[in-house]
Amino acid sequence: MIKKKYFDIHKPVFWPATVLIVIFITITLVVGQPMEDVFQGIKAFITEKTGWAFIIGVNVFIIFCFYIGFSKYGKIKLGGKQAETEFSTLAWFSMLFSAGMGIGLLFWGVAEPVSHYANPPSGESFSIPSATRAMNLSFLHWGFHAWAIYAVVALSLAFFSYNKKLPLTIRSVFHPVLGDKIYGWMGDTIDVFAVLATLFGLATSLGLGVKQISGGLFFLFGLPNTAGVQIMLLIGITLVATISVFSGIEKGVKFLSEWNVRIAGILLLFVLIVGPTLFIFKSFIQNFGNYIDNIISVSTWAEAYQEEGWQGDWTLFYWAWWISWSPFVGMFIARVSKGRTIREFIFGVLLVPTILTFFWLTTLGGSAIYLDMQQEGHQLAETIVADESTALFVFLNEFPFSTLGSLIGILLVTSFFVTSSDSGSLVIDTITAGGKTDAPVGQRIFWALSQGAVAAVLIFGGGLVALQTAAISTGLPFLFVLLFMVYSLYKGLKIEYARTVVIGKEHDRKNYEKRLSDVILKNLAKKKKNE
Amino acid sequence: MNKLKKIALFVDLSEMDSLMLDYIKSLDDFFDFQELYLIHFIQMEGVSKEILDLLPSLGKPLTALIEEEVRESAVEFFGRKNENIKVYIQPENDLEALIEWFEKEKFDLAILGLKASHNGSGIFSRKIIRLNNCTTLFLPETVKPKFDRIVVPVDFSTYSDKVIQMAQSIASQAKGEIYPVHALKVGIQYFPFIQNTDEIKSTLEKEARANFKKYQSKYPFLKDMAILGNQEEKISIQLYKYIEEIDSDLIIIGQKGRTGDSELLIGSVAEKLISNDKDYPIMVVK
Repeated sequence: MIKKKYFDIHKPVFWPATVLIVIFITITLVVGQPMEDVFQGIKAFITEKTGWAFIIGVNVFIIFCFYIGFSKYGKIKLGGKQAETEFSTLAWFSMLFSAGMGIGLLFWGVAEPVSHYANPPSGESFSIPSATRAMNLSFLHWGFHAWAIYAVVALSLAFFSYNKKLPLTIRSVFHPVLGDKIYGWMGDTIDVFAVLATLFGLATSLGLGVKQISGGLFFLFGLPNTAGVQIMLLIGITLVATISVFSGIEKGVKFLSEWNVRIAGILLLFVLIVGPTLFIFKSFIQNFGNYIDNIISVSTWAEAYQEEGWQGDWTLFYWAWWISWSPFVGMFIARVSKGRTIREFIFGVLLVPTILTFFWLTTLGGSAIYLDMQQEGHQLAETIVADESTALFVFLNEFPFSTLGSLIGILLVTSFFVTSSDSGSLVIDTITAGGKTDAPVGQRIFWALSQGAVAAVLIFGGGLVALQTAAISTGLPFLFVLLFMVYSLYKGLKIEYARTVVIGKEHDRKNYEKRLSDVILKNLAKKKKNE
Repeated sequence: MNKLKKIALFVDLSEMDSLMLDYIKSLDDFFDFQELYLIHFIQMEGVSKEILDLLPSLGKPLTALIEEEVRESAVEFFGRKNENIKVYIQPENDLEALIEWFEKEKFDLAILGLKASHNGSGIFSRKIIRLNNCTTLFLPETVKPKFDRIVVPVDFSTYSDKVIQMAQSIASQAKGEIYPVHALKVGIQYFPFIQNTDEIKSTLEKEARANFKKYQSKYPFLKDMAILGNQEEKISIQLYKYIEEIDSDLIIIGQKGRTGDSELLIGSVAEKLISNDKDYPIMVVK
């Protein structure tokens, strides 16, 4: 087959997705500022009416993960019995770490725990219970539930592409239920949902990144922190990211993504050393225990007996956000996990990134709370909560070398932006090209630009609320895709297991041996006669 | 869909092979197959060392040896030169490779022997039926190439359509007659409360007859359906008794029934028929 040079797309997925994105961009631009109310309305509607579905959904994912991790299916190897791992366990762990590290943690690492501490869903602000619960809630949002969502998607992708040799795209996961219909309109629809979810989830992340960069520049140099500046920055960085895709400096991106994690690690170490070291270690243990102790009550809490609103801004936003960009993280994890057994996979993906994330949240957000508790008047917490985008920099300002720290912070977010945009466009490109991973670079540029455009339009049309709404409203339909995925994966694993049992059964050796020997002896006799 | 063109025959070097070739030959008279593959799976684990030591003195590999042997038996039945008959030998005990190759070839029908005389000798056949994705015909040792009475169990699932179409295409070619049969299934949810299941049975029976009417209007060649309703016995046993009573020449059943049980990889009734049957050819439609 001749490889198409510039465009190699799967039309029934590429065009509907593109048209929907263009429609979205046009409407937002035409309506202009009033869009903010529209976004607010959509967000309130979805979180109020369907919040419970998200809460049930994420708990289904985690229970499913534990079930298959411990069950007999845990022995199934991704890529078949003979498959070997491509990376050592340590390298695999560090890749899982890096999958969990990104713009989100930089943006919310300080802002979220402090925000829960200053504005708790119930109870007294700035109190010890609200501090403990702040960490507990932050852990909930970034913990096992988040990784269970990714694990389901990643495992499904890995299993159906490695073991069942189907194309690496979301529709393949539904083969046990839909059969060859996945190649028809049903599969196309599923993939369109996946593309939209990934794109909007990524745009949310990119939008947050650019808000933070702008916040940092304001904090350091007094550059106005407005939507206009943010959009300019967004265009600038998107172009840089696009050039990096276009010029094919894959190595550059690889280099960046490796160093991202290292620099993030250095930042973490820095705060750990100059910050309240002992407190961090002590509270890490306590927060973790507290999280495990409360995991059921906190993860099933649905604002049933109180005024609604808090959960929509936080928990539901996170669930929807994780769901919406689960194809992105899932595909990354799937690619590096060939040769792992399902048991290894589940517990690796659930535990490794979660523990790192918890440590990050304790070190940054926990320390910020600790510092604030030492002060009269809670000036620090007030300033952090006032603007999430400057939270990290306000916090770093409490330590020596704060300008350097903030600069590193800004560079880190920028660099995460570039790598997310780059790998995000690769994932979307793979889905819209029908599972091909080597589609022409032109398409990736197109998707890198669309992500930037969507993020810009979202900031234009309503800032943080619009970014959150984007994640929530694409997360909702994809939640049902994921629940369906759980069923389909279960069915696929059940059949696979039954097959391995059947293949492993003993044959009737004795009779066969005799017949085979007869054939050989007969031939020997024949040969002797001829001689 | 019922064009049977590409046929796979699994041979195991036993006396069964010639029986099956004979059967295929008479099937071929009706269907005019285009390609016939003779497939053999070498189970190296079963071969003793002494025998293997003799191999080098023969000067050719085991696969070539078996290929010759299989080809010879084919020539016996189909004449010397027949380009449409191919031989495939799967070496090294690699069942997964065999299945992968088999799926790629996209056969219309697989034929396997199902021996009763040695206990456990049908294991290979029973494996293949679960792992492949094509309609499979099991032949017992007592098989005769006759197609006068074809029993077709129907449960009104999606497979029933396929089964009836397959039966019709065989019956019309071979001038046989189709015997549709349906087993009533009283749901166990009734049992704790209802002593007398006759009433439920008669409702179910009416329902089944109504369903079958629809089939008859779709497939006018179908004659009336027999209904089995003995709640004391398992469906597979009732079915088997019916088959014996008719003295059927061929049973055609769907791969799965209404409740698809993926643990077995085939429907439970089909599975039981294959496991217990000794005397009747069974075709499992996929």
